[in-house]
Amino acid sequence: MSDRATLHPDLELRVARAEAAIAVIKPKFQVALVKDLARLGTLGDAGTAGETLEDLRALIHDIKGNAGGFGFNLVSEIAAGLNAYLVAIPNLGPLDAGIVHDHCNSMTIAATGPLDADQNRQIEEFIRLSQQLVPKGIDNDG
Amino acid sequence: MVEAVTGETISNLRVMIIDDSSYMLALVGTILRMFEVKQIETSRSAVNGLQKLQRYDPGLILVNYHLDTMDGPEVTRTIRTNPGIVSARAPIILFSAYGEMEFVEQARDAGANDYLVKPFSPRTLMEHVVAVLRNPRDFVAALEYTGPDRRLPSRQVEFGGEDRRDSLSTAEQDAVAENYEAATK
Repeated sequence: MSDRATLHPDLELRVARAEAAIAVIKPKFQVALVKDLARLGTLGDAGTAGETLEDLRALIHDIKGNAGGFGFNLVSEIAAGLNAYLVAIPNLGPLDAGIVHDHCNSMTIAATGPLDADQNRQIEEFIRLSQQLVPKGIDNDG
Repeated sequence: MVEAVTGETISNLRVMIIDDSSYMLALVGTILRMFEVKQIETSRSAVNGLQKLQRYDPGLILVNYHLDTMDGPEVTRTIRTNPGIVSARAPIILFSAYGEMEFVEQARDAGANDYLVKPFSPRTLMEHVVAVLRNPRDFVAALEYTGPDRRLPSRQVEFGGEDRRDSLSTAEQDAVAENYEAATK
């Protein structure tokens, strides 16, 4: 809604300091993220109650928004795929626990890295497939 | 338009952050502290944030779209219209993991100055803050909308080319005049 601006040199330094600070707090967030991912897996197992789906949606929405901010970009991308899927479905079906689990596993691997080249390729392939879970035009969440 | 947003401008800024996620509050708070913003106030709930804004007067308000009892646009609308809020005209940046245009439009129509899609980097946040501070908008208080003027500012275009208004020969000018007269008889 507003034009981008060229930054004053002094502000460039402050941006660099903020990026360095995020690297410092990233491990602390990582601990919380892994806990959230474990909780997500538990919710995925919990059953088919509407409440559980809402809880899943809220949690994955938060993970998607928070993880990337702390530098866990792959986690955020995987979460985006699951988020779009959970928003598109009316309720949890019998196959959905498996979908939640697969996403959880991939996010946990991406969150606890570092990834070797092979793992990185697998995660990227998973993201590509995850994005195909919801046909374009159906998802209404970011 | 403000000419330049410098380090001093940012250091003197008072910022209010309203977000129900402690992680995001920690993240944005850390980023702002590294930006050397000295005065940062935070709230983890919409209601508490609005209460604080009755006595705290920030120069910038950051609001998460997804909150507990009210969403970001509702909080924005309340800030803009509630007479108890002292910072009704402060720039507001809404941020959200929702990236679709409908959410951006809801934020704009509620009176937000800008919209930031999560996840965002420190650079992106700084760019948005600078853009909002560099481009203060007139304030509109109308029946159906209260907030920054959503119309684009009129552009002053400097003309750099040669003046060609006299570039027609006398004969051509006569021909144009004759054609005009013939067409308007």
